[in-house]
Amino acid sequence: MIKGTVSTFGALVLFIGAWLIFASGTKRGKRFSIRRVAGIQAVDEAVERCTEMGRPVHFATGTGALDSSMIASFAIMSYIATKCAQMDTGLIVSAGLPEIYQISEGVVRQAYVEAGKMGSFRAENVRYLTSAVAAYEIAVDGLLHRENPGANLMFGPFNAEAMMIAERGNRLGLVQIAGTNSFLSLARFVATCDYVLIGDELYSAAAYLFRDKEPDRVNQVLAQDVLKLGAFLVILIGTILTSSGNGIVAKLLAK
Amino acid sequence: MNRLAEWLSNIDVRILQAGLVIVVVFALVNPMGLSVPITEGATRAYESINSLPAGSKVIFAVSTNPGSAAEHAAMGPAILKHLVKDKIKIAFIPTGSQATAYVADYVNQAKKLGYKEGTDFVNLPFRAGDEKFVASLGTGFKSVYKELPSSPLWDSMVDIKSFSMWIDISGGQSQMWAIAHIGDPFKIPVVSGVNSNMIMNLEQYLKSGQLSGLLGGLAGGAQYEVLSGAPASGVASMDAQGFGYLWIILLLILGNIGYLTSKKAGTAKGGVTGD
Amino acid sequence: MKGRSALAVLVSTLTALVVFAARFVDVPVITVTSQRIMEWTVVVAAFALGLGAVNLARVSIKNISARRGKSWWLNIVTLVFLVVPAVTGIALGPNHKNYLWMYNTFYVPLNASIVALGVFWICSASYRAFRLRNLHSFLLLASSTIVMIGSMGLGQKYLPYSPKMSEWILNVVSSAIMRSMGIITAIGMAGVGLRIVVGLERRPLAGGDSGE
Repeated sequence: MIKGTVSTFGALVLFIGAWLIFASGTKRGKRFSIRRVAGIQAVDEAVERCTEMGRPVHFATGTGALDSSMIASFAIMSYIATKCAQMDTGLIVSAGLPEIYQISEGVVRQAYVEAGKMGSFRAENVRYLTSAVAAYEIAVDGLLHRENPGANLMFGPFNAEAMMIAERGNRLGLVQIAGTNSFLSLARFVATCDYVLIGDELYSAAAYLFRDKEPDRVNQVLAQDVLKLGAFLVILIGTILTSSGNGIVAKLLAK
Repeated sequence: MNRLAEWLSNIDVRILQAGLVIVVVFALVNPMGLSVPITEGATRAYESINSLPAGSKVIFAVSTNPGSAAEHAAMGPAILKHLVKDKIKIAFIPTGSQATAYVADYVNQAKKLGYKEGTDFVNLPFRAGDEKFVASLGTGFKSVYKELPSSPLWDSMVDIKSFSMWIDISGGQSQMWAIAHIGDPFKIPVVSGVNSNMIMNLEQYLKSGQLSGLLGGLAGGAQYEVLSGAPASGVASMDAQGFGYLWIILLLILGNIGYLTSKKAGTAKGGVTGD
Repeated sequence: MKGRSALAVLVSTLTALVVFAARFVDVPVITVTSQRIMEWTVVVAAFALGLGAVNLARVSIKNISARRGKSWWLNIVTLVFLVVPAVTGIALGPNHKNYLWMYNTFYVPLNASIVALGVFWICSASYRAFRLRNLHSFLLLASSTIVMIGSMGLGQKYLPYSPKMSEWILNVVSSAIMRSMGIITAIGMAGVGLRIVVGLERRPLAGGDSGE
């Protein structure tokens, strides 16, 4: 093995082992519960509010790369698209990367198909704006003014555009819910949004929303918790040992 | 009193923003020459570069884009002047697609300071690939630039180990790539200059020693100018930045006075929700 | 699973496994294949950019033909700035003076101006958000105020301990939180990555096909 990767491989084995244990429990009929994240309940309320007001829902994905937070956000996008299709509420998706636009169109289209509302699907409502941060924030700013949505949902990897988009939405009086694992954007969202899903809550939210249809998502979250516990123990034991002059944990992690 | 309190807690946004402009312009026009607080990251950056012997070679990697240009406007020239003063040889490399123009600026500045291309610095062209490109500089430095003409300095740059330091001026993630593919495997010190909002994210790398210096935004540039004894545009902007902070602090105080007074009267609004 | 979905899942699983394996083992075939796969992602991203541009053009043309909204004419501006630089760059090259003129005259100042506007948003957002509602809000307000005071010359002059307090907040408190969030986020990324490797995450691959 490549030097320095043994500890990573060990963590991977622990993760997969925990996942398999939870998966076998699910196969035997056991159902693991997952707590509801406050922001996700607010998503339902936001969509209902938009339906009552007759205004569309706006979903922004940011200009960050197609990473794991965006993959988790696609699950949330699918959920919101399904709800919008069922309630005949408009949904506008603003993508900041062309590959995210491609996938978003597929996700929203599929949601409308599964809801039996393919006739209501409008391809032009899923838009690629631009990949440049400044241009994206201005484009979304203009879109919020012109399209007059009732809610501004921001899920995905955001960069500096988070500030302007969220602040503009706040000034327009929109319900705002955000979820990202980008440190830079979190502070901005916390200051301007009604609800924020911080880091891991994004993955938990996707697991909660699809806990019945895709129970493996809950198993994933549980396996993540096992790995977090393992990391905590390693840090605790390592700190104690290293502080007392024993560097064995650091040596093991460097293998 | 209630009306004043309500007004204080809901000041029109235009007044907030106009006040900020007035305060910043005032400070720019009437500089007070206030001192610049020096951070540990800036001190370590200066000491790391200062400890390089004359004739050492460094990579000056630039990933500036139009959005981050203002944040890097002070630190880049300050570091460059220091390198020239200490007669350090430089390889300029744009690691971002939009950085070529900014590298050209640094090259012009180096020439104005008396440096000659081919003997004191080389200007390497942009190569696409982001992290892959940085990684390939570590594993096969010369093979990335096969077509470059020979020159005394370029010929002496055999591989990545020919360099004593990687200086990274970036608005993105190139410093992370440098740590992962250059600093950690080849034990080459990495000094990073970033946007001010990225400092929090990178302090941990400074603490762990994976970064040998960290400069954040215009303030970081101003600190480096002070440390290197060459105050310039960075230091000149610090008064304005400080007054801008003062204005925001004043607004926070007024807003909270209004909020708490309104709260007592039962008409309060605002704050971070979800508390 | 339908044929197209199955193919997408198979390709993604195989490529993910190869890149994964290259991280842990030093086998030349795997390493070289992994590098080739990474190069292919650049090509795929370039094609996706083209499709994105087509979508942007399609939406703009639709708005122009329908005269949709008061500012429908801005879509003409969008189309001009989409087509002209693209054609110029392709025909003359990105280093040609005409292309660089467009870049330096329009893109650079506009980009820098929008980024600079950020400070106004931060000013109004912090004024509105930092209110003393409870202990959490107090900590938020106090830490941000200390960091601001410690970062400026006036703070250093009249409150000499403020720079040290500011550094402590950034280096100790903030750094610890960043590290823990980094660990948690990385673990989450590992979970999602593994779902893609084993073929469980099919929503992005099959255009929304759920994980069944």
